[in-house]
Amino acid sequence: MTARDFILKELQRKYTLDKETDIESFNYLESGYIDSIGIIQFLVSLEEEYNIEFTDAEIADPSFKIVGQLAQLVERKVMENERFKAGNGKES
Amino acid sequence: MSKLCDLFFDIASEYPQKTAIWCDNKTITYEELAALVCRYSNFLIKAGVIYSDHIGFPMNNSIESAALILAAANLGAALVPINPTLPPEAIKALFAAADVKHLIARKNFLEQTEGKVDLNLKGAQICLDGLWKNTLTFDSISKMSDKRPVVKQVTGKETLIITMTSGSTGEPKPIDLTQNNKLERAMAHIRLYNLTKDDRILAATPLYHSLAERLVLMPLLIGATSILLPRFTPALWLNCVKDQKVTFTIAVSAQLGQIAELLTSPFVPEIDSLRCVVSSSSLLESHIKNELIDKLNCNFHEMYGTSETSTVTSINFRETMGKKHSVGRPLPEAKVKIIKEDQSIAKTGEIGEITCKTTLMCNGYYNQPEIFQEALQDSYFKTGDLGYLDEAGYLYFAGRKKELIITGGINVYPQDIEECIKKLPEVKECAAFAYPDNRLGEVVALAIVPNPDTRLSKRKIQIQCAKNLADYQQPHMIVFLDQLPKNSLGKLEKYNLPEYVTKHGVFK
Repeated sequence: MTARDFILKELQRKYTLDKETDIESFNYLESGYIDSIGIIQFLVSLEEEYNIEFTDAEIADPSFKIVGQLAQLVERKVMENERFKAGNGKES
Repeated sequence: MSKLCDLFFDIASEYPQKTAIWCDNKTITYEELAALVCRYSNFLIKAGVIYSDHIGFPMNNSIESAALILAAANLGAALVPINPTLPPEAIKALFAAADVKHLIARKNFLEQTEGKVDLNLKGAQICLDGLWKNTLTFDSISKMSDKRPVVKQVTGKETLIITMTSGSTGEPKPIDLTQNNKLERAMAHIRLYNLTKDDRILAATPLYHSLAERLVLMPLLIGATSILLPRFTPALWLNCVKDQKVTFTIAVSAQLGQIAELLTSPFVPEIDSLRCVVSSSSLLESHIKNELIDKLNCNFHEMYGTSETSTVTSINFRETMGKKHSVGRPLPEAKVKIIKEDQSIAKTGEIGEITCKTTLMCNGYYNQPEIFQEALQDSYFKTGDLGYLDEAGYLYFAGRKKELIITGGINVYPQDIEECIKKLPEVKECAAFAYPDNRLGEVVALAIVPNPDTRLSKRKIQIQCAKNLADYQQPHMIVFLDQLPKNSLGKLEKYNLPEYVTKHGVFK
C-alpha cells in the first residue's frame, strides 16, 4: 500500500471522503477528519507502519496537514531510511 | 405514554415537507426520513433482525445513523453504538458484554478489523456504504418497501441503546437505555429549554455518545430541524451555526473553549440566529462564558449530569451571576442528596458525594444488575463526583471521587490505559492521570517507572497505545519517573501526580 493510500485509509476511519475531494491539496485538520483528540493516534500509526519518526519541526510545518505533502514526506523519510540502511550495510 | 417511534411517525405525517435533518450539505424531509426508516426496518427484518436483538454499530454522524436509531426503535431492537477507532480486541469485549448479534458498519471498519479479531457475531453483517465480501449491503435500500412494518411486541420498555462507560481493557459497564428512557430524556430537555418546531437544533458531538443522540431525537419528536455536524472544528461549528441558522445547541465545554478562542479573531462570521447555547461536561471559566455570550448574542445555560442519570442540574447565565461556580438546581425530574463518607446526609455547604434520584435514570447496566445496585443508595445513583448544596438548593461541583480523565468531553478511565501499558515487560509501574490542557480541558498523561536495566522509549509506549487504545485514550504526555508518589501505606497518590511529575519527571 502506498503512503497516500495508507493515509487515506486512516483519515476515513470515521468519515468517508467525498469523491470530488482534491486529495492532493486536502487539509485533513481544517476539515476535521482528524481532530485534536485523534491526531496522536494518526501520527503514531503512520510512524509505526513506515518505521519512521517525525521531528517536531516536520509536525509543526503547515505542509504536514496536507495529504499530498504528508504522503511525500513519508515517502522521503522511508527512502532516507533505506539509503541509511544500505549505507550501513556497505560499511559493515 | 406514546412510544418513541410512533411519535416520530406522527410528527413526520404532520410536517411531511419540512427538513428533518441537515448533515454535511445533505438534507432529508420528514416524509423522506419516515420512508427511509421504514426501508431500513424492512431491510433489517429481511436480514434476520428480530425484536430485542442487539446490533453493533461503529457510528458516525450521518442521516443514515439517525434513521437507523429510529428503525431499531421501530423494530424493538437495540443499537450498540461504538467509536470506530476502538481497537479490535476492545470492540470484541464491548460487543460480548452487550450481547451483540448483528453488525452494521462502513467498509473502512470492515477492512480495518478483517483478520484481526473474530467478533463472534451470530447474526447479519451489513455494509453501510457499498459491497464488502460476504456481508449484506444497504446499496439496494431504495428498492425496499417504504410501508412501515409494525412490531406488536414493542411497548417502549425495551432497550434501544447500550452505551459503554469504559472504553477498552477495563470491564465495560454497558448502560442500558430503553426507548422510554430516550423519549423521556428528550422530552425533559425540550421542556427545560422551551424548544419548539421552529428550532434548528445542532448536534456537534459524536452520535455514539448519548448527548448527540438526544440532540438528534429532540427535534424529530417535535417537528423541528436537526442540524448534524459530522466533524468538529471551531471554524466548522461557527460556519454551520451561521449558514444553517442554528437556534439551539448543547456542546461540551472543551468545544466551547475552542469556539470562544476563535471568536476573539476579527474574521469570524456574525452569529444572529442562536437563541440558547448549553455547556455540558464541566464548568466553563467566566471569561470564556462572557466571550461566548458577547459574541453569540444568546442565552447561556450550563448543566451537570452523568450517562446513567441524564441531566441532573441546570443553571442559566443570569443565575450564575449570583451563584458563581454552581452547576445549578435539580431538574423537576431529579432530586439530589450529598452523602458523606460515613453514609450520612451532608448538611448545607458540606462536601460529600453527589447522588441523584431521577425519573430519567437509565435501566441499569446491561446484564450486570448487581453492579448497578452497588452504584445505588436508596435509589439514589452515586455519581462518583464530589460537591455540596447551598441553602437555596444550588449544587456546586467540588471534584471527582472516581478516577477519571475528561478529555474533550469524553470520559477516559485511567485503568484502561494502565492495563494496556503494563503489558510491556519493561514497565515496572505506571499511572495515567489528567493533565490540564487549554484546548481539551484535560489530556491523558502517563507516568512510567521502567524496570531497572531495561530500555524503554516513548515511541514504544506510543505504539503500544496506538495499537491497543482508541483515539481519545492516547496519552498526550509521557513522563519517566524513578518512582510514583505514594503515601506511607504505599498507596499511590494520584491527585499529586501533575505537581510531582513537574518536579521529578523526565518529559519525553
